[in-house]
Amino acid sequence: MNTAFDRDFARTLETEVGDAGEPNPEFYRTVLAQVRHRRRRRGLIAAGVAVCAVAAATGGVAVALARDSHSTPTADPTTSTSATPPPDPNRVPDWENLPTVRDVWPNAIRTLPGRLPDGSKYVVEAMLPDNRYVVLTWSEDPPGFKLSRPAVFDPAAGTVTVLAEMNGPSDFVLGVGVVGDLAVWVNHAFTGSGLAEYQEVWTAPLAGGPAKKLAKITGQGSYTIAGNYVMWDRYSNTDELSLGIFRLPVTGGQPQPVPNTRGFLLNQHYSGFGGTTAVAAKGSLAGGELIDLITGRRFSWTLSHDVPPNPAGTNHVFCGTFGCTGEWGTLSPAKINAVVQNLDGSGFMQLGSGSVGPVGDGRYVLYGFYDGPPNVDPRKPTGVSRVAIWDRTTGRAAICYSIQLASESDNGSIPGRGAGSRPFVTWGESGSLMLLDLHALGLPHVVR
Amino acid sequence: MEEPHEADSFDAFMRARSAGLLRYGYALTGNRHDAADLVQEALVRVGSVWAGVRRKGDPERYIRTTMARLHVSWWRRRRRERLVGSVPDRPYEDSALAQAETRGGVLAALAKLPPRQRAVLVLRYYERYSDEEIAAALAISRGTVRSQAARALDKLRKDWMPPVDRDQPQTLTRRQQ
Repeated sequence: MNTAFDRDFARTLETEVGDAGEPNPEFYRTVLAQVRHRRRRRGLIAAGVAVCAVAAATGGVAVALARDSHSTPTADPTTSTSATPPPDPNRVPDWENLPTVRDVWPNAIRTLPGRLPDGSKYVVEAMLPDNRYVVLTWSEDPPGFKLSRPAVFDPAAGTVTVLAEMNGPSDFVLGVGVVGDLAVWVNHAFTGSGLAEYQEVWTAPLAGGPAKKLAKITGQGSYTIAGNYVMWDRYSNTDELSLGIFRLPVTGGQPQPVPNTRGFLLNQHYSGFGGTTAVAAKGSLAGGELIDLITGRRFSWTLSHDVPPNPAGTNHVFCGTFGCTGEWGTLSPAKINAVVQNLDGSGFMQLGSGSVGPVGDGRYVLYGFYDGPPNVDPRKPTGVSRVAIWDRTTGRAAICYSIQLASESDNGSIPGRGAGSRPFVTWGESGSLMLLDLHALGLPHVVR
Repeated sequence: MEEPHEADSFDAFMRARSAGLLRYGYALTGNRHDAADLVQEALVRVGSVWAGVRRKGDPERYIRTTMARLHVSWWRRRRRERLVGSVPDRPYEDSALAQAETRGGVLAALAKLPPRQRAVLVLRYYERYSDEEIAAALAISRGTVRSQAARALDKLRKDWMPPVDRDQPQTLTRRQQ
């Protein structure tokens, strides 16, 4: 603050932001309602977190009650199966009258312990043969949570094989995937001073054995596993433009740029660790180019002509190898519709005012919605929030779980895990961790 | 379950500090709607773990740091979603920021900066943080703080110049081309 310019800038900035306005009573009510909900679901990275992520990404925090739908899942005795219409992939399901996943896909449900043998909460990162799972330990890390300690959990044997401990107390794992006999994960780490952050790519044999650090990568970006590679997008440090997609073989070596990917970003909804797809995208809101990073295939998508004009609204469409999901509408007033469409723009459907996110390769979607009376006092929420899964190829749909918003019970807040392109959905229920195996529904296995 | 007096404490804090946080959010984001969203999300995050934040002391500092980090990460995520693909050749500007631009003034000039540069300037000139404090708040190095600030100020000087007559600040808020 040494120059006249500095002083003028500071003074003018202070003057201009004085026009920011005052919070109104509704602002306070919304904050308090969301604090209450979040405390109740503390720790729950619900199975529908992909759905939540979509909502949060839109800046949808103002769309309070109906969209902040993830709390303690409870059995919902009011769900009826009798009124369920015949499945039709070309028709939006009757969300409020769906059967449960137990009714529709009973053989695809697995019940896991709610905690590891040492009492830790955990999330499932990947499924292994013989009902074993790659897991991460979940712990609170205000203002959020953190995942750490990659391990293989065998619930039947009650054993946990820890693949690696963390370097530092602040470090956390972004995610774990499986390539052949290796677990592959990326650790987000901090320097000793805590001022700089970087990522480390690690592998370890699933059967146990020393973990191996493959690379240290500075900067920020998103990561995925694609084939036998760890891939990530990277920004320029100076202007934050995308430099493209980079990859590193899980067997080790030097990171290399994937050719002709400058300007592409990982599509986080269709990529990730342990996922069935890994997709990068580039283009505009009206359409663009996509890369299947597993096969190298390039393809395109086009926004449906049926999308209503909404130039100033909240408009997001994400596409993967199967199709597209997104949200279309305005935050104020809160009129957002979850939408799906095919890559060529056909098959556009508005699902309702909930939130949507893909699961697996996108042929399944999770749809979260509020089922209750409108205009309730956000300090005293009533009704039920539900998360449904919909098979877009068959039209079959079912409720994964429901949440009684008025419930004060924490029910142990069993954390689930974001679905994304993972081939399963998890959620907490009565102290257990429930897992819906999409392969049992017909999702093809990825050959790595 | 949090004790009732903790909830009352958070409520009181929120009502006492929200207006100031909104101004800070306005400086960071450049428009009122995003500022309200930013403050709301930060309050929700902090309110969810209020007892722990209070124990650490200085909850306002905590929430302002949360806002700065959220601001940078939201921008990054929003840009991705604008196309999950469309990488702009210049900093992303949403419609509200475009409106701000037409107004002229410091906020309009700030709106043209990438979010981290904007955050660095707001923390330095509005929050009066030292470079070390900015580095800690944004989890970047002091060298990055200085380089980001230098680049930001260089751009700012091209887009904005201090009003000559402070009684009529709207008359000469932009450098004439």
